[in-house]
Amino acid sequence: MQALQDVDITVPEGSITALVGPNGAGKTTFMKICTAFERPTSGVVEVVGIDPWKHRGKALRQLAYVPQRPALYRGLTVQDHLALARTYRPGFDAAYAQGRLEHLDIPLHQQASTLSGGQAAQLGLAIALGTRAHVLLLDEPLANLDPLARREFIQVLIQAVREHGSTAMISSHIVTDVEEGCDRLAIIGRGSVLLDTAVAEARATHFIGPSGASQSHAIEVGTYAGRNSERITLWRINGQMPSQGMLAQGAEPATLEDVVLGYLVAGRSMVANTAAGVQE
Amino acid sequence: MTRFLLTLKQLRFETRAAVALSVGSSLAAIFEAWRVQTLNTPASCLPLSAGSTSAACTPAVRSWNDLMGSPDMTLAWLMLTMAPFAVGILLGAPIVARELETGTASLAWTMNSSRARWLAVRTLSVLAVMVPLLLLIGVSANLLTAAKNPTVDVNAAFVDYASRGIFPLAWGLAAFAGAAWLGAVAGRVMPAVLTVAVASILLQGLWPSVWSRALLTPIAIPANLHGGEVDFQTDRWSYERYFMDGKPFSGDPDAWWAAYTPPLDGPAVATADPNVVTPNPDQEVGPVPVDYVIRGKDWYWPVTVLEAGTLTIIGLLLAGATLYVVERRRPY
Repeated sequence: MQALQDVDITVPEGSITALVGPNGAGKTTFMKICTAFERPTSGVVEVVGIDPWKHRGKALRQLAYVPQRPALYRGLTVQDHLALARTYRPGFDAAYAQGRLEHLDIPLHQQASTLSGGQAAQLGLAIALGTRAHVLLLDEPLANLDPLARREFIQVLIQAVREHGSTAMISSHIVTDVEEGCDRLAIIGRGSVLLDTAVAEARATHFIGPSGASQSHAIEVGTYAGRNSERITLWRINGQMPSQGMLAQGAEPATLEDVVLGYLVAGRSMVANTAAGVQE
Repeated sequence: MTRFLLTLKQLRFETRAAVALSVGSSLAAIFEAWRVQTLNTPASCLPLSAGSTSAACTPAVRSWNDLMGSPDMTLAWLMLTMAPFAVGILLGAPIVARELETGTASLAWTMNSSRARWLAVRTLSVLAVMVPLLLLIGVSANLLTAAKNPTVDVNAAFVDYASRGIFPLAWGLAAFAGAAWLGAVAGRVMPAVLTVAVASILLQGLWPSVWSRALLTPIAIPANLHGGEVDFQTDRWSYERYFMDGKPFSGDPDAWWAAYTPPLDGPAVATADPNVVTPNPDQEVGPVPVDYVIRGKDWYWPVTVLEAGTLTIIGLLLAGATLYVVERRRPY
């Protein structure tokens, strides 16, 4: 069984990319290949031009990884984690990480085992940011967080990445969690990339309308159930979004969530070829 | 220093248990040795000596035997014997497995650009605590053995040689490496602890027999005594008590001994007589074919170095296997 196939993603330097897909889509496998935890059976993955499997040490020096489940030592304090990180990674900016945590009112002398889910996630993020790595890989870090903690996490991430000019990829199965601040969107489903584009581009080139209505100059991507159980179809147009008057009745610009749902349905209903045809 | 302290802090339960076990068993051994000393048993009255059966010696011999057979003496020796394994397993099993079990390996293995260096630092941090503890056990066991065998030079005798001196260090390192390797393979602490504990007991039980057969055979093989099979216990017993400490056997079967007094400090000598009687009064007595190779006390250090060295090599091989696994396995 292949977890990923025909995956072709390029993450531009300095961008924040949301890797979105349902559970089991292959997001985590992709992250693990980037961190040299898994070996691709074919193809090439490069982190800042370095193949992580062939040159693990070099590649790891360029990246920081935040797993879904906070990787913390239960018996160590927050301060201990920062001290340990300093011994692990030469150049680790403990002062910066500590400042981040103090700003969030996370006690430095508290044991990791007693941190809340949000605090633990923030500690994991602070450690990753303290490495000053060029590339940040965050594998569903929001999955177990409450809405407030999610928002705080994303805000800290965005601010830090923008400050340092890092490149980040954050995976999630809920696009609304990560759309704030992300400038690229990669949708992955059934082991394949269904869409890889800029967020602005995704918004500008997709619209939704009632199922069954025909749209000129647009390609149907997928049809899914809307909030009121009505059938909604996602369309992708070539070029600029037509004016409202040119759209069929009931059509409206797609949100990022609409885009993701449309492509995931397309992938699930085995019209991957169609999706691939409209892929950039 | 920070890494060293933080590694120990991560393993603080195991470290405290190892310290308590080592220091506790060593203190128990020293206490028992002190109790033996305070008996002030005259050398002429020591069991197995020629005069020990005299009426004047009866109270002294009784006190001696009571102490030697007391539960606390047995427990102290048992703790000393088992402590190196327990310390090695306690500290070895979690060194990689705990990281895999709790998911922290993904942090450690992405923050460190070299897993080998990560493992080396972690291992050295633990060894810095473990080695002194194992040496303490070895010295304590030597003290107790010397107290229990006052006429024997423990550095030239094979009395319980595999449980004292440098052997606890060798056993402990082998158990440590074995537990670390199995923990790295299984990714779980408890299965590694239990498996290596069982393996250690088996290995320690078989060790003398393996060595007697491989290195010292035939030392004492009463081939027909047990249906033609080698009695390992008899084999080892003979090896330890009769020939290796340079002391003559002074037990009951004097006639046998008188006929076959070995050159105590001389080179190895092979003797064979199909009609001799086994010298151990507790064993079956009768005409049995016996082949003996007699090793003098000059064999003590070569044998010790060889056997402890073999254990150390086993430990190093297991450490290499652990590194191999760590380099290649997934952190989950």
